[in-house]
Amino acid sequence: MSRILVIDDEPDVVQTLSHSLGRRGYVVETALTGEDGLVKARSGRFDVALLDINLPGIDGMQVLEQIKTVSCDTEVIMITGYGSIETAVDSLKKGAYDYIQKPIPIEKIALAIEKALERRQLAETVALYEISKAVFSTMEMDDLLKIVSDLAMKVLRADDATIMLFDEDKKLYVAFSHGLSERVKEETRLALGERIAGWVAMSRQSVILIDGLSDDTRFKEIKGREAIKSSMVIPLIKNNDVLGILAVNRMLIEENFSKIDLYKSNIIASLASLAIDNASLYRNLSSTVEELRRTLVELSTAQQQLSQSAKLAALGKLVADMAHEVNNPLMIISGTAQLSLMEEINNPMLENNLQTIFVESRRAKDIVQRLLKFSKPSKGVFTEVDINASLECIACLVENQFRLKNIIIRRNYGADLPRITVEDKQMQEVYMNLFNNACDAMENGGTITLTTSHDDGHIRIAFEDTGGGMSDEVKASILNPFFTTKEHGTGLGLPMCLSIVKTHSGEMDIQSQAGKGTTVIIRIPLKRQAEQ
Amino acid sequence: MHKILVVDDEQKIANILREFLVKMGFEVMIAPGGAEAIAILHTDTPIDLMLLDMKMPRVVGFDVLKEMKRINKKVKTVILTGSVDADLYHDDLAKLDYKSEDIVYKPVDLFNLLDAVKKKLEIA
Repeated sequence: MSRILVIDDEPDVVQTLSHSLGRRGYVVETALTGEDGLVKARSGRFDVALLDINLPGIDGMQVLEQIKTVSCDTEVIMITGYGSIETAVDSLKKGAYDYIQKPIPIEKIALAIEKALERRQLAETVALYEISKAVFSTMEMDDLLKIVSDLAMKVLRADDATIMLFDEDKKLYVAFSHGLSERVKEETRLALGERIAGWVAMSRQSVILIDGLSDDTRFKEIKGREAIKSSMVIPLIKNNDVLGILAVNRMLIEENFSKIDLYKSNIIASLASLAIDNASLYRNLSSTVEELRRTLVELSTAQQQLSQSAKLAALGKLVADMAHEVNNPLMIISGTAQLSLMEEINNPMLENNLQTIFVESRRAKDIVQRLLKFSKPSKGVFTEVDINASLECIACLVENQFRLKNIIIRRNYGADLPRITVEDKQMQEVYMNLFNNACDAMENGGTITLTTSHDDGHIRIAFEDTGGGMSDEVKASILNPFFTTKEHGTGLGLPMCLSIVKTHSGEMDIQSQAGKGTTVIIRIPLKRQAEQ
Repeated sequence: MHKILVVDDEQKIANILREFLVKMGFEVMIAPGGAEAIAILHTDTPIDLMLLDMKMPRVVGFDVLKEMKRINKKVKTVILTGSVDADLYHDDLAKLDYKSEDIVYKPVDLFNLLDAVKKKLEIA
């Protein structure tokens, strides 16, 4: 049954209209002033308003504007006196549906009302269509929930809406809300059957609540939110599964929800359920895809590491065998050279040559030693140390020599670091190497910043230099044995460091950019993992 | 004059060591293998210090040390060996109370070897 509001200051006109429209089956309410008309427009829902342009007090144009504000879907037909046609045309621009000139031909009014009602119905259909379109416009759950509740509020003329969904523990939580505070959103968890939302989710029945909860015997135990004038709670159901509930409330709007509103809200809820289900499927799917992607990355990293460590192991064996075979001849070469040098040689060139043989055989020995160090599985002793003290030991050792090269060591030792079990000699070998690398990178002097810290079960040691840094190509190769950029480098320093760090189940990360210095970060777990 | 027993299966190394040590004023005897070293240890030949290689065919350096302990003969020993071999025997050597300062790694600077020998003999 359509509701019509007649606002006119002439009692005769009002009465005639009320009478003849009533006979045609409309529910008619009347007001003799703009003020009264607005009060009625606010408290009741009207499909059509007949509004006189010339009213005492607030005039018709103002009333029109306000009606359109409080109840935008009420169609307004203006009634104009002779000579106010221009105003009437203006009113159309302000949202009036039509205007009719006095004296009022009742048939014409009836026709206009019919057409206005048709348009209203069309508008509702369009609104529902818009909802379905909007609801399926996104796969993002958060966006979707906002769209659903915004549209639900718009179509149902509500000023508050909440969507609750089930969490993993089968409890309802606030997935989206317009009116609820953050704290309430965070804290609210409802079991099935608990409060209204829980009851609706359990019984799968929609409810309309008027004036709080007092008049519904089902909920007489429950204390509702006080500000709510009327409210609808609708279950969100997909394929027999309850996903959650949609609650829409009127807090400031006086008019109560009607059966028709409930009918509409059920349509919205079923569209929303479909979309929410889709979105959550999509979310699951994307998290599965994300997980797969991560696993793939981990897998390929592991594979790389595996082949890297297999390479190292094979190399280690080779080196150990080779070192053993090479040591004796080297001993003979250097020993013979030394013995010869002890003779009286009256030939400076010969002496010089012997010296070269001796020095170079010593260099060969160094290379073999370093090779051995990084390749062989260490059999050293693990002891509990204060990493700062251990580091300081090496820092002191190199500091004087560094000072001559204008290199300053800046200490940024973390306080209260837990002691850590390491093979200290080996780790010091690592520090020594990193110090030397930093030094070599800073030909014109600079600063080495040592930083130690403790996070998440690891000790972290960072060596940061202000040297020339590395190009990406160099960086890509520095862990390859025998790769070196130094004139007398062996190319074994960093591979050895990595190998030692690995025997501590640690990680070594090298960050560098050409021209911006290099930072080497070592992370060693406090709890040593079982040796493989 | 201190008498040093050089035990090494590599003849050239043994010769170099002998030549050097003799130059430095020691008396030197050579055993070309572990078995020969053990044989010498069983005699009353006075030996002040043994310069012992670890890895040798058949009887290895460690066997010589064990035998020496078994017959309760105490000859100061400097172990001259490749580092891989020293590691191989690391735990066993520790059990016989040999410390890292008793070990000199091949290839060694002859004068470093001399230092180790002098230190062991407690001569300046």
